[in-house]
Amino acid sequence: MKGVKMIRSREFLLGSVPVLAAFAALAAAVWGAGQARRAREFEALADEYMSVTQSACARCCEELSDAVGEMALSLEKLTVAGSARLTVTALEDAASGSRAAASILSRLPLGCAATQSDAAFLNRVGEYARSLELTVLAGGELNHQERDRLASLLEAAQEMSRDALCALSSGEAPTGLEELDFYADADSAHTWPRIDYDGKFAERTLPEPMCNAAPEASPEEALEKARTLIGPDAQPAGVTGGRLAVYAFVSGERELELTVHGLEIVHLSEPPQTGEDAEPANSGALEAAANAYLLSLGFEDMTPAELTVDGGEARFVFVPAEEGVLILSDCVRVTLEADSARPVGFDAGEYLANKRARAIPRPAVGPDEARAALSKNLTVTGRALALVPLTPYTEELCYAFDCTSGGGEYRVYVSAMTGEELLIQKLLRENDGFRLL
Amino acid sequence: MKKRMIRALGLLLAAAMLLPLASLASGISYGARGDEVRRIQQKLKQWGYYSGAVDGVFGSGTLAAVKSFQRKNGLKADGIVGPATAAAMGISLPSGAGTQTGDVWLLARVIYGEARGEPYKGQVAIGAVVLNRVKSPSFPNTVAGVVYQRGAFDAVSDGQINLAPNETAVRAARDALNGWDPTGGCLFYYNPVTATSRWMLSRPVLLRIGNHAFC
Repeated sequence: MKGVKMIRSREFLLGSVPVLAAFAALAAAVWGAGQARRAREFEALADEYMSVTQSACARCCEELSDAVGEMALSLEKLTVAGSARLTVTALEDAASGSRAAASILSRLPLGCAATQSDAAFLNRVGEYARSLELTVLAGGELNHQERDRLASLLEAAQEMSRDALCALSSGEAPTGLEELDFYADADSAHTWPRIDYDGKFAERTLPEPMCNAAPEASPEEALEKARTLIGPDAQPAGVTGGRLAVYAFVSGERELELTVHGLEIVHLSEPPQTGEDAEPANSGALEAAANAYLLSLGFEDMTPAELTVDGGEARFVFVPAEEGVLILSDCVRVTLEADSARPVGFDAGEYLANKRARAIPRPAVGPDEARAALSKNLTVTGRALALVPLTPYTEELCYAFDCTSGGGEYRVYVSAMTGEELLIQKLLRENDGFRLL
Repeated sequence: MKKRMIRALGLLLAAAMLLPLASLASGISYGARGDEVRRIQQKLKQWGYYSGAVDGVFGSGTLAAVKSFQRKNGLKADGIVGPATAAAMGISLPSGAGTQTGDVWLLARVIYGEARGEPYKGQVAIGAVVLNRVKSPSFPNTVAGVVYQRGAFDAVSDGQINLAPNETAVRAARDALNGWDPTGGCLFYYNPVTATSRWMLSRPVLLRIGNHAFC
């Protein structure tokens, strides 16, 4: 009986194996079908996104070609515009076209080589057109030199437009799916005409920093000074080249930079000890502490231009005055612990890079005449004279009027030479501090 | 695998080219600080969504409370106090503040993705390079435009920009935005050990900080 039972259970086992195998095969087939369906869905999604990418890229290329073409057309119209009104319209259209083209170019999937010089050219054309527009609006006319320059820009813009169209029609325009080395062949970029004008993008050489006239100090002399400032453990941390060459040092968490010429302090910092949520001291106490710190570093009669209080720190921007005129580009930055007002940071990079011998002009326009240029919506609450950097290369003596209007606070700069309104900044007060936008 | 990579790239590219710039960085979000955050916390505490300190710091507690409020009020629960959420709370967002906060956060993410572990000055230097490009006519004129320019930063290509930055990176971003530029105007940097671009390697190096050479 036992033997019969064993034979029957073996038969049962042998008989159930094919059933189990069939069941397993069915489950695998069902799972496989599910996987295959998912793979097809992903493929369809990938195809769809490829199509979206290519369409978006094609649209960008077409829009770039259109924008450059519009810019070139506006420059062409300038060559035949007779009235000031049409000249201004054409210049505004050229500036608008260049801004659009530069913006579209930045979104195309192109490497550094293709975009750097093209973007710089487009931005400069737009800025130049805008500067000429202001001249004509003020009653001036375009002189021969400016017209010749516009003619060369027209030629260059037409070349850029032709190149864009050729790339589109020959299929060489980017599709968005290419592998990209952002920096490949960056030196083979096209050379566009140079434009001489005053503007933030103008190609000019900045004046040599005054401190570079001092003799060059040796690394050993710099280290000796560093040890008196941040402690005997100070160690060299490198040298920076460029317009303002500096020696860098570290001592624990303290960092220091000294100019190579003259060993002036460029930067000094250490991490704050208090937490980010510490209750800040009042702005008067912070300003007094910052001024005392600046005095200890040899900076007298500095005026606070900005104060930001957040993250447990109070960060000041101070500017000096010469002959009663605030020199806005020669700023120094001081950082304090917001609660204890202990100085933890100092930066004079802008002060040292921009400071130079200046002949401060006398105002040609009186304060009342300058005030008349302001909007009738503004209520003036304060006034100062300031040398305002309009571009990295030019400054203008201005009356800085502090004003209020509709609950907002503003600083309006009116030229003290021409009486023209030049710049408006919004004064934003937050967290016991203030800054200008 | 290739199709999936193309799909991911397509998403990134399509978003970069189709989304208007105005849709980027608006509203108050995680990491923000200030009176606006304090007001939000006060409101949420009043209504029982938030039980933490009204300290003006948009941390994880505030984030959870904002999402809870958004869910209860049928808003998109993204944790960002944008115009719709602010209106539902009965507060108005100040103009300009959101943009600055957005720039700080994006810059901090780039710094964290590119230079975490580097000396603090090196992290500020990365932020300064981004801002120098914004000021340059050769590059896009916004922080987001510079950061998302295709192929410009490895942290964007490999997704590390999506990691939440630490406090050091946020502080470095603030210092860079506040004007500290340890590079003296540099527009490029690279790691000499891993860089392969011959053009980059041929540029004169102005300074080195940690693993990065700046030029």
